[in-house]
Amino acid sequence: MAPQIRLQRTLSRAVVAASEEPQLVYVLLEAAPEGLPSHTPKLPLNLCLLVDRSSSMRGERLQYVKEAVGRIIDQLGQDDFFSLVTFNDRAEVVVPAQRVAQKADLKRTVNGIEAAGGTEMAMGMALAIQEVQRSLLPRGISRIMLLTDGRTYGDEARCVEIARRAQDRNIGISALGIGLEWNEDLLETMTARENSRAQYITSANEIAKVFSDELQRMHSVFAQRVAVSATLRPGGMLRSLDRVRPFIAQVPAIEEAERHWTASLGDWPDSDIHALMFEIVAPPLEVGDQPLAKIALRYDLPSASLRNQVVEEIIRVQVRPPAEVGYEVEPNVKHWLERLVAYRLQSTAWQDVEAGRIEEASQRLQMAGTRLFEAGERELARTVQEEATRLLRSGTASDEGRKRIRFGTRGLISSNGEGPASE
Amino acid sequence: MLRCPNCQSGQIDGTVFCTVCGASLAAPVRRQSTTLFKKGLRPEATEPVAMADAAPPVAPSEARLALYVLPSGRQMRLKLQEELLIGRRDSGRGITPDVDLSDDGGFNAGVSRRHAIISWDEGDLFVEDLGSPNGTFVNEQRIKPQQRAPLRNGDTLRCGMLTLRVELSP
Repeated sequence: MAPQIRLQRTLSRAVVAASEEPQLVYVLLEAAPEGLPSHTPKLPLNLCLLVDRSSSMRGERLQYVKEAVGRIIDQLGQDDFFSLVTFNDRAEVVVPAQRVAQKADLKRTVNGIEAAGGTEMAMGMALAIQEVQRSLLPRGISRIMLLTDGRTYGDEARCVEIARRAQDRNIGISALGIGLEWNEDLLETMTARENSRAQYITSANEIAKVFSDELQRMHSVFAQRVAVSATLRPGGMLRSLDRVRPFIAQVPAIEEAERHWTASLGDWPDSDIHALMFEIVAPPLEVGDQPLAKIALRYDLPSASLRNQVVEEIIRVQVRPPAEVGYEVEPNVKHWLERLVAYRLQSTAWQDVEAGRIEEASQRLQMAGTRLFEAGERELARTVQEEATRLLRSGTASDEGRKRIRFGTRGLISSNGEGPASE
Repeated sequence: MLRCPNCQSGQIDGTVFCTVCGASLAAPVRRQSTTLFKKGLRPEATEPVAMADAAPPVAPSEARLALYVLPSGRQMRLKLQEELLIGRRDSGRGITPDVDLSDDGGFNAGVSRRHAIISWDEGDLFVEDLGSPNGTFVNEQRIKPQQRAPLRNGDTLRCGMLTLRVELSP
């Protein structure tokens, strides 16, 4: 069988009622590779580690980082490029971009890093992108992996600008925040694009695992330049498009032509499961088997030297008279909707908090807790409900609760085995 | 149209979770009744909602514009100026719309930062969609982007999934 990506789609309701009004249909699209050779050669990696070495990193955090970097160096192959940049009040290239040859020497250099000073991220970002660009690979994966525990002041906009410049050149950013001081808004904004993600590391002894999971993800990319498009029947509208797996994120879709939306999804590692949720407003439908949308995925499979592959799925709905139609929602779609709604509710709740609407924020968090509870995310549901109560009592949420909720609802938290791995 | 049993907002048929409050709508919900406002939030509780074709003509020279955000019942009184931007504020990009729907669930309802412009031109009111992905609708008809469409007293104006009612009063 020729290697390809296989699509599987599930509708919120298998049968919908004929209606003279528009109605909403949710489509869960899951994608998985098929027929790939079992030993696909790894794509060469061009990785820059960008490490915060401000004084708050002193002690066990920096020690764990050094061990984690040592392990990464061990796992890199001879085709991979590696560089390391540190930042505090200034930024410094500790290991310039190079092929990983003298591993012992590299580790010795890394072990010499000391923690001191403040946190100024933008200069570090600028040097990191410079190092990655020194050895841009014609084919391969370019990534910056950022670890920080602090809050950078005054240069946030510059950080985002540099991140966008990197992402425009296909350099993805993995931003890892550790402890309670770092700015989750900034890390989320910096990584709100393809090939990028932000993660919350709750305890220093998780650093090595998170680093090596990230590396594994980069090394297991099987499809590149993945893009999705949706063409709707006349009168239809794509209300929203979200990624639900491997983690929840809104996907900005552009209406390129009338009723034709496209979105870029970046590179796909095969260690992840990929799923998208489409919310489609269908125009009034008559009884019968009605086509609703055509969804197409376009991608390259570098290991099979295949470019611009396309797989299409025609989404049809069975329309029956209202009396014959039930209300049941397909359980898998419902599960991911619960998670998605919880994510959206908490996101609006933090905006409410900022605007001083504490009661609304607390209500939204309560509802997010209900959704998570029904999705089986009990521990996270409890955390959310505790923060809802805390908000009402004290008017503020705790730093830790806020980070756990923001990253937990998206499935981007790593602590003692919880988080994305438990999906 | 469905009615959310928790927050009373109008939701499109087939919606599983309310876009305003997140409550589950998967169980049968009564179809929407004729009154569009939440009890207690209705501005003039005794007056029925004006239908578009029943709207009284308005003397343009002294006209005033009010917009009602239907899901929340919020009312905005606006001074008629040449152009009023509808959207969501984004301080990072320096966008501060005249009609800011950020706090009405605008993000979840698919309102763009720069969604549409209401313009007042020689006594006539128009709305123009600014190429928003989720569209602008006047009385549930999607209007063409980048083209002015007339707007009258009593019209419903929908930005993405957020419905507003237009009231021009003398």
